[in-house]
Amino acid sequence: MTDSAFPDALPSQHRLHWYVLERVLGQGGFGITYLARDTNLDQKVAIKEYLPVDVATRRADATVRPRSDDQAERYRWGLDRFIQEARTLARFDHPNIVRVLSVFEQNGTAYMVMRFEEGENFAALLERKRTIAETDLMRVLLPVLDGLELVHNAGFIHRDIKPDNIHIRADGSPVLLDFGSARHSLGHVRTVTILVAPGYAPFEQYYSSGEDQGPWTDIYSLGATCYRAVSGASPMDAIARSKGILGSTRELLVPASAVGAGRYSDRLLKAIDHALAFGEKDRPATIAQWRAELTGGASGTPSQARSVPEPVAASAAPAYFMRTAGLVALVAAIAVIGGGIGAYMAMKGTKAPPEPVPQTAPQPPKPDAHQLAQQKAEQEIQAKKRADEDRLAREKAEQEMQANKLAEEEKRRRDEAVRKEQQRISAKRSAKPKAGTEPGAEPKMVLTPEPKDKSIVAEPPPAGDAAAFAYYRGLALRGDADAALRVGDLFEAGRGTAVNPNWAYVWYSVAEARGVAEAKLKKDAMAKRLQAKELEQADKLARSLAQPGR
Amino acid sequence: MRRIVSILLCAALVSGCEIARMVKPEPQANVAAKPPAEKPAPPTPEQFVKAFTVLNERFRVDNERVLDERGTRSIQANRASAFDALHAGLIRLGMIVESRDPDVGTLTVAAPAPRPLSADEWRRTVQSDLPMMAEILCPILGPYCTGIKFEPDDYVIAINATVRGTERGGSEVSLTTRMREIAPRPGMPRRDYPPPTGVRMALDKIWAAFDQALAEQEKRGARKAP
Repeated sequence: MTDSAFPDALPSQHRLHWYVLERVLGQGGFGITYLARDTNLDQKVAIKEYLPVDVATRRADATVRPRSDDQAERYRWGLDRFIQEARTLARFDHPNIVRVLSVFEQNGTAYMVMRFEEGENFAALLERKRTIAETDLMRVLLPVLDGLELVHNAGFIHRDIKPDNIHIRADGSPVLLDFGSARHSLGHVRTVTILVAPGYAPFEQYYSSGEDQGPWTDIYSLGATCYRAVSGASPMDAIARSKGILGSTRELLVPASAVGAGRYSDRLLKAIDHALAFGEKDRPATIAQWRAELTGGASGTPSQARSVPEPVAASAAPAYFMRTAGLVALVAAIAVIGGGIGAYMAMKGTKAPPEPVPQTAPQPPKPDAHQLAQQKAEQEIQAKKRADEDRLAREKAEQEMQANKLAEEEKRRRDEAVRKEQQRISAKRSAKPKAGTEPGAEPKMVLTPEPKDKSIVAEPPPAGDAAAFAYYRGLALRGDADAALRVGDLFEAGRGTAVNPNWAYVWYSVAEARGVAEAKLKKDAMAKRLQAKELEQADKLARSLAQPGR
Repeated sequence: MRRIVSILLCAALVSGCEIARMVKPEPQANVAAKPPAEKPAPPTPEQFVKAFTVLNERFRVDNERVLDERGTRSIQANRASAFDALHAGLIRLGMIVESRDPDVGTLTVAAPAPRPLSADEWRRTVQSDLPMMAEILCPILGPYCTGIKFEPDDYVIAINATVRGTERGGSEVSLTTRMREIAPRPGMPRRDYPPPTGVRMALDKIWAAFDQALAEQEKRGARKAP
């Protein structure tokens, strides 16, 4: 894997705990992303390694070290934020937000383990197609809004939304990446670093220490992303716009309503222009409000309070629309948008060779005189605190690593048991005419599954988690036993739907009731994760679902 | 620079423990650094584990009692109407939909704690449950338990709901609640159960929102069952 393109990368087959690196997916100024295999779960993952090449270097023993003692503090600062980014992302379990599986420290640096997604980067897609149709844009935009609203409602702001940070999966669903500059917006504004993507960052990100930033900051970036999709070029940088607006009150940015007139609906173009308003107070205050403008739904007013984003009732309907009715549409959308998408793509590795993206990873504050003075004072004050925190963080990371390892080993043992049970059952089935019909067969909750629709069952499942989930769920609702087991698997793994052990348990129970013997082991494993009242609730539902003719 | 070292024994629609969290106030000129106040010796990890294990068990028992009393309701409205009303009610309370399947009758919502409670309701939960927690924790943790605070940070409240049709055309709505710790503390027992007062208040709020949404639906005309 270490080749001329990625001289700093770890070699192929290098082992990090139970992850074996396969190849480099991409490298930016602040790290390298690898495709790796989780040998415990036997699945692909993407692993992002913190390696800021301007301040650190790889040694022969694979460790990463600051280039000099002077750089040590900057390196540690960035490393802490890298780990914080992982923890920030781990808060969110949403199909349109990158799923962080783990983070650990090793080799003097840190590694963020993420779900590996196949598909294409939105920037690459736009580069190829230049502009995209309104329906296709909405199929990308609305699910991203859905995920971003979750982030905002939790008190975070992404601060670095741009086409490069939106990934289009093989099934057409988008996923928002790189929360490198996401920071808790409630009470931690003093530590916010200015990380901007020219053209996609609003003016307040250049001058503000954080207090003027909020959901409207991300809305500007989303508006700029839409502008790129309808015009074929990213909008003028906010600094350049400021020279026109602040100098002569003249707007230099050609509005989307002029660029896209006749090709896109007035509603979309007006919403883009509203999002791109120069002054933050002139933009939609919340995702719900902007979504309402995009979709024509009703929501709040532009003068809505801008402090902490409050939950907005109107947000759920469009979100649900995209999650359910949109599933099939998304598959169709990718056919329209993506054309020949098929290559395996990384979280960021869509270009070959990938371009460094300095805005997407943590970096220290820009050293102007005022900030340097303030930093120096703070450094002295915090020196002891930092040492204590570093020690605690290291201890915590080691403990977490140990706990994760134990959990993974347990999972591996369980999977092995399931696999053996499946082999045993397969052997038994091949030797006997039909499970459940022989004398002495184990009694089931309900032993009268509806007949399978053979024509549908015979079809291969569609590609992509979301489409597969919809496919198996449909079959399961029509009485298919194996499909019920698959729906349980998908709920357990969080593929095509949110992770939910309760509903996994329900579907495993249904599968068991319909005669799938291997469902019992899985059901029992899920039962251990549920509380007594949750089990009671799930059992009731499973019984009613398993009833024939429901 | 003033340093405040606190033991945060977070609970509530939430509960966890953060040791030695440092809170940095705004910088103040000409203010000399003050040494930290005298504190009792911190409990051992074993003491914390024991304290939380006992507390978890108490919360589990209380939670099950609350859910027995208020977790399930049978109503006359058909399954589709009940599902829609529940969905609308939970959204109004600020919950975020994670998954929803009207055909199956499953709905999962979640939100950062203290939602669905407000900040004021949160404070009332604290007032109500703190003495009970202190009664459990102080004998194990000693004087350190006086530094206990309830904080909703770092927890997510998840609600799983099912809506099932009943034989007479009505429906049964069932709710369960659980806490998800965003970053579980290694070596510490996991906190899955919200404090009972919080659960009780949350369920009351949800049912009130549900009733309101149902009444609004009835005004517009109930949906037919799927």
